[in-house]
Amino acid sequence: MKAPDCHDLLGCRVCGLVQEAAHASCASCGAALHPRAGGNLQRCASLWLTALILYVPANRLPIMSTTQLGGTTYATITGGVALLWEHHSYLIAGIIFIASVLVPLAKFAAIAALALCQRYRGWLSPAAATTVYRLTEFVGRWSMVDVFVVGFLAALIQMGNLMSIVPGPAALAFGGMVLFTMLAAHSLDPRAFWTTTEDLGEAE
Amino acid sequence: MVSSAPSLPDTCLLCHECDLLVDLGRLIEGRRAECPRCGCVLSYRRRNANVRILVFSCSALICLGASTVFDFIQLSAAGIDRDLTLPQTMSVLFALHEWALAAFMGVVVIGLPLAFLAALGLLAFSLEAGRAGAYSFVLLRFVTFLRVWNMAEIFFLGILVAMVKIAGMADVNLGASFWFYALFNLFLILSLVHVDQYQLGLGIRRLLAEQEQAA
Repeated sequence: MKAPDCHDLLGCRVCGLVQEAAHASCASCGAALHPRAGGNLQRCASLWLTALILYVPANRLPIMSTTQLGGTTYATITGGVALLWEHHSYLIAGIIFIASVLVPLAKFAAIAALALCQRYRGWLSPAAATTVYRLTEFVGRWSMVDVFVVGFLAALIQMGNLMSIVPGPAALAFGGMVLFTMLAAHSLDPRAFWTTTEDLGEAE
Repeated sequence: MVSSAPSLPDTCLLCHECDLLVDLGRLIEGRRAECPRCGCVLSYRRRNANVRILVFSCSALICLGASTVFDFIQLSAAGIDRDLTLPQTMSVLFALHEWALAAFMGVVVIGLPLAFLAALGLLAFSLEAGRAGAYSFVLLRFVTFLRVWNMAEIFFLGILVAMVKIAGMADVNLGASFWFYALFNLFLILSLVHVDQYQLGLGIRRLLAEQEQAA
């Protein structure tokens, strides 16, 4: 059985209960209900911008410094990828490049596109926007892998002058950037892609 | 009993991605329901979901506990040996004054999965035992929130990448804790796979209604 979507109903994201849209919190589990008007674009834009600002130090500053036999070298994210590539570690270079360079850039573009799609409806087809949204939500956390690599290496490789690794300021900036893009993606509302302007007019 | 909107059966739900109202009817065990409009999985009613969640979350908790006790990794280069346990990963970072990084890793690698699994296991246990109360919904909300921020498997991938990076420079030996952490990840993913917000919510609501009738 399938009924057309009703404007005076809201579904709880936590327990799934369908209830009247007049409630501010779920009648059964008490979680906050999210009105259909479509995400909080102000919030999304500010989080997106914060992440974008953090993207600059994350890429310009060293993500870790290696002290080896007295000499200290600093590596940025892209520098690290290039170094791995030179050492023929193609798989690892690929993983780090995708997780740390490609995915964050793609996520910035995707979140901007989805937010624009919520603002100016019909810009992307609902199905296409939903697919992009799912991908963004799925890959979001995986960018964090580089932060964990640096954190773990720094904890492990503390052998004095022989070899020591210390995390650089970019590690925090990068971690912050990933967190903020995740929060920005969470403040989007996929239901808005399916709500046409006529629907909103009826609801009002 | 808290009922859904008037005139709607409790098997109805709104697709959380496209907002289509769908009645799942009697969803058979082992089957999943997809949204007819956007294709999003609305609910997956797995066989014995609560028992499995209980088993997997308990196993994951045991493995997580064990992974903090033994050596995680051993490294030897140029005659220098280094052993590291999982908690030391955080304490070494603290000693390096990387407080934020140490705290973040401690929370994400140990704290968050611990809280998530404990809450999930407790919820599954109470549902399986036929008990529910206001606390069940608190647990469900807690589980829903923590689920998004779990990054244990990403940390594990990070460890693998780090090991490949240093494999050429030093001899790496994996300790018992490493394998426990790998098993913990496996069980964590298995318990995550069995979590279905709608089925858990419906289970709690039906138990509460039964208790109300009995009283």
